[in-house]
Amino acid sequence: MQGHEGEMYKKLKIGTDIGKLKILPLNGGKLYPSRYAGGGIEFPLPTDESSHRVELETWEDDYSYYFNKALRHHIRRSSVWERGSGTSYVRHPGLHCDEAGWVNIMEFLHHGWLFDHENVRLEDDGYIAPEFREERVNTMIKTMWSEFQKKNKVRIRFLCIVLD
Amino acid sequence: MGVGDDIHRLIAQNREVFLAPIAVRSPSGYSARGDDFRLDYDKICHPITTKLADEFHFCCHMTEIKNVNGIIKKGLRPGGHKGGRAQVFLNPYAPWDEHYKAILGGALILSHLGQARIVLAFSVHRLIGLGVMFNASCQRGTFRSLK
Repeated sequence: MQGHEGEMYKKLKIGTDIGKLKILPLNGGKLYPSRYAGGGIEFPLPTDESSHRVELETWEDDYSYYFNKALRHHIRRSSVWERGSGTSYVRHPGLHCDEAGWVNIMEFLHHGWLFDHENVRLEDDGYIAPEFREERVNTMIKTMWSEFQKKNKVRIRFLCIVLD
Repeated sequence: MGVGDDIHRLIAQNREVFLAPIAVRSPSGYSARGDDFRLDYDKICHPITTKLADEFHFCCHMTEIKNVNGIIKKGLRPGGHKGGRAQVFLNPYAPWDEHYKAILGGALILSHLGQARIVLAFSVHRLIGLGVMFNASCQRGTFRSLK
């Protein structure tokens, strides 16, 4: 399986030689630069004394559903139809990705359908200031870790450059 | 001080590894319209090896009893007879196996709709001959087949 995943990495033209590519650990990590999407978030690993179970708020659980749906069903489509307010359907642009399904994280964080959805957070108007990006990235990491703890499922993979 | 110097200083001070996220993906569960699958199978999966087949022998698909006739007639299809999916979910362990319980929290005798379920077992060695390919679903100990 390692070899097969390695093939995917090679397909990405990242245009840098500053570090190697790595999948973000499920419990999170330190991200850089902080002005890009915050400093990251790390949840404690389980110990003999405590499972350190992370529970999601209702709105975070909603986010998780939309993250999952976008990465599975919106990728490589020019447009998608999703339910808007009431019973009407609204057309949204799809998500670009490479042949293995990797989506540029900045495009994902700007994917309007995900974060403008009225059922997620009314106060989030989709404006992408750094603090919004930080919250969104941290929410993605939190949902990934919580769902793994609860269901043994990994629904999001983050591809990162190791800065060392 | 440049960005590179800054990060090296931080790592030296804190003994931590910093990561710059560049992309995200779902490990599995992609939709498809008929034969129109948008990703490249060669990039997301690999053929079954004899080593894998020797290790697991069988893989299991759980479904509702009402689906069995259709599977016998038309085969096991991603998304069922309506389609819409690119992959079939298979588990290397039977529901009564301790490993399965560890993965999914117990044998799921009923579906989320309360329908009785049945286990279909497939010989992994036979799947090699059919050219079935696998990718990791990132559900601990399970995989999905792609054809």
